[in-house]
Amino acid sequence: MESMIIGAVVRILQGAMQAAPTVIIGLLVAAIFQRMGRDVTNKIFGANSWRSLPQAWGLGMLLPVCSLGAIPIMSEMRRAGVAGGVILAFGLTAPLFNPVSVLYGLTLSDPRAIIVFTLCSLVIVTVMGTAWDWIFRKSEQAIEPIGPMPYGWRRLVAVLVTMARMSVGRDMLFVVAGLVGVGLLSLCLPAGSLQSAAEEKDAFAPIRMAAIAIPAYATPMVAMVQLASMFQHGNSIAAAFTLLVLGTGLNVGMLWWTAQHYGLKKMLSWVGMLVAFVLVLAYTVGKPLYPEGVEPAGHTHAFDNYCAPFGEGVENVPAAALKMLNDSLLPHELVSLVGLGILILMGGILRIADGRGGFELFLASAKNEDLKNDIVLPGYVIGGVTICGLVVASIAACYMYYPSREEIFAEMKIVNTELVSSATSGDFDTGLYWIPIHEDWMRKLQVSAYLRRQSISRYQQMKIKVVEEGIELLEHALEDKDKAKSDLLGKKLGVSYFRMRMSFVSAQ
Amino acid sequence: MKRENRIVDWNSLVCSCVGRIRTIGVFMIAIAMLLTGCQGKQGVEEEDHHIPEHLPADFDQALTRIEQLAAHLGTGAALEKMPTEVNVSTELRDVVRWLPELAAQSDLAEEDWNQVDRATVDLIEKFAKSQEPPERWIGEGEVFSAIADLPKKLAEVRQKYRDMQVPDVVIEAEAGDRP
Repeated sequence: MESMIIGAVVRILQGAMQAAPTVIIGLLVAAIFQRMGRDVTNKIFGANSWRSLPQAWGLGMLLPVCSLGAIPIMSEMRRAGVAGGVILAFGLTAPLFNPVSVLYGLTLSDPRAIIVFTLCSLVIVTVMGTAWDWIFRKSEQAIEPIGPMPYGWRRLVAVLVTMARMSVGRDMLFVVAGLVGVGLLSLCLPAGSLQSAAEEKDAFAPIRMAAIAIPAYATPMVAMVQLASMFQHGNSIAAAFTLLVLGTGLNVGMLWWTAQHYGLKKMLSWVGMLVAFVLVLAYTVGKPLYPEGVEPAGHTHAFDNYCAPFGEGVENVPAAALKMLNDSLLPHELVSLVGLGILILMGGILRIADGRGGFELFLASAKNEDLKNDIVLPGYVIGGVTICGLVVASIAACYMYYPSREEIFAEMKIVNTELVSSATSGDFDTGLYWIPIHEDWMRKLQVSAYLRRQSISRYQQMKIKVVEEGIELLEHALEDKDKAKSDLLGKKLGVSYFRMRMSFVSAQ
Repeated sequence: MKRENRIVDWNSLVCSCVGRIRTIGVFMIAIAMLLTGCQGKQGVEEEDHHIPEHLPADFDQALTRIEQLAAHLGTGAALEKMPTEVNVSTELRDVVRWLPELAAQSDLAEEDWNQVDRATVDLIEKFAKSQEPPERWIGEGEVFSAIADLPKKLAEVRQKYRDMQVPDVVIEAEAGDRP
């Protein structure tokens, strides 16, 4: 019982860590929308015309937010009077893809499948958005516009203040609910219980995946890693599609948000329609997209993160939980958590000391005419720069996330040495810590080559496959705490890595 | 007075939130119980990574096995070791499919490995496209002669592979040196 509860808390905190960067982005975008005003926001989303749905889909593809980070943006869209169908379409697709994750998917899954999945998401958005607006007419809400804010630093400060207020606002309750959903899911799923949940021959795999995916929370990158793993393990492609749309697009917080704003009945009927439509599409595309020549592994570790982290026989669960949290916290997540903490602190102080928004009134008290040194840019320039900036930032992010081959090999040399030495010395926990890091660098090696248009020969591809399989076999030996096997497989992995490295050296 | 109102509002908000979270929790637990029930297992045990019994130890042994299986299917020659997990045709198909990977698990140079790849790529593609079980098509026609030809075609690469191996006497001697 203790391990179950601690396990659920670990899953909630891991979700919070992963969500922190995109929640900050969500708060920033929502604050900008609020300060830009109702009409401008509405215009960005096509002013409830026929363009609204594709525009919401396009913007969602570019914005690096997850299904929790999308919640504050959805609230601002609602305040701006955007139609319900468009809001839900945005909320559903914004978390599905971002440029970094699409690039990952194109390289490590089947590019054909990723393109089909992307187009299917557009179909889902269009159909579900249109259906909502057709069935639940006039669901948009007219809210009194917020007073104008003078140009310049006052507007920038106003955006920061708005972010701080939002971080302790009602929307954060939905975010927390989304995270609690992850904890509850892990309470119900024993450790490793989903390892055979997505087998290709299992006709019920997509349905089962739909039920798991709704309360689950996955960032776009995590979902894409799971997707690639499912392709490599020969799992059900229909289940992979279901996981992508429902696992990344929905969470408990988003469902609660929808029920709160539109009513429980509307939410349930919309989710019902969505699940049915996603399953129809999944069963349609699953078979034709199944990769040829892939040997089904018979299991997958892709969904271990949705289950309880601790199985039976784990001694000192609190210490294991702390270690797990420490191991899974990435540097950018730590920075984001600190940033979010500062915002919440600011928001708390503002809420107690200035509950009526006096600070914003002070900021708004200056008139635009008083400003002498600022250039007032027209809306289309700001909009254009924002869109171009998003595209440029996305490209830059891709190159940063997938560094050059030399950098990757420099990092991987250290990782491989650590993994091999911990495996051969019987240090199972340390070995298991390095396994996902090694796997990650192996994937980055391939995506980086794709991004930089460097070719990887069939010989090199096979050497990569041998290393990847060696890592997986070693992972099992480490999990089983099998000393002799870990030693043997660790040494084999060291040799396979060396051969793989040499295949790239000899090609230069 | 104002302060009191605030406390009452917060209480009702918190109560309402807790109530809703509880409802959602119960709903989710029901779904998850249904799910674990569907799986028919509690699933706390780690799934094993299945290594097929008929996976040859190395490239050389794979070619030897191809020779044996092809002779068995072609001329009816007796097999010293019959497969247990799969039938003879499936084993032959699998061993041919694994050949490039087994060759890659060695120090063979790129050019030598490419020879193995060229010799097997078309066959593996045909295997992937085939919808029928291997016993219906592997023992006859072009596919069978291409498979039966593999050991001869790859004889040079096989010799290079053999030359690279550490002789058994050295391995045994090294093992004897260990404390």
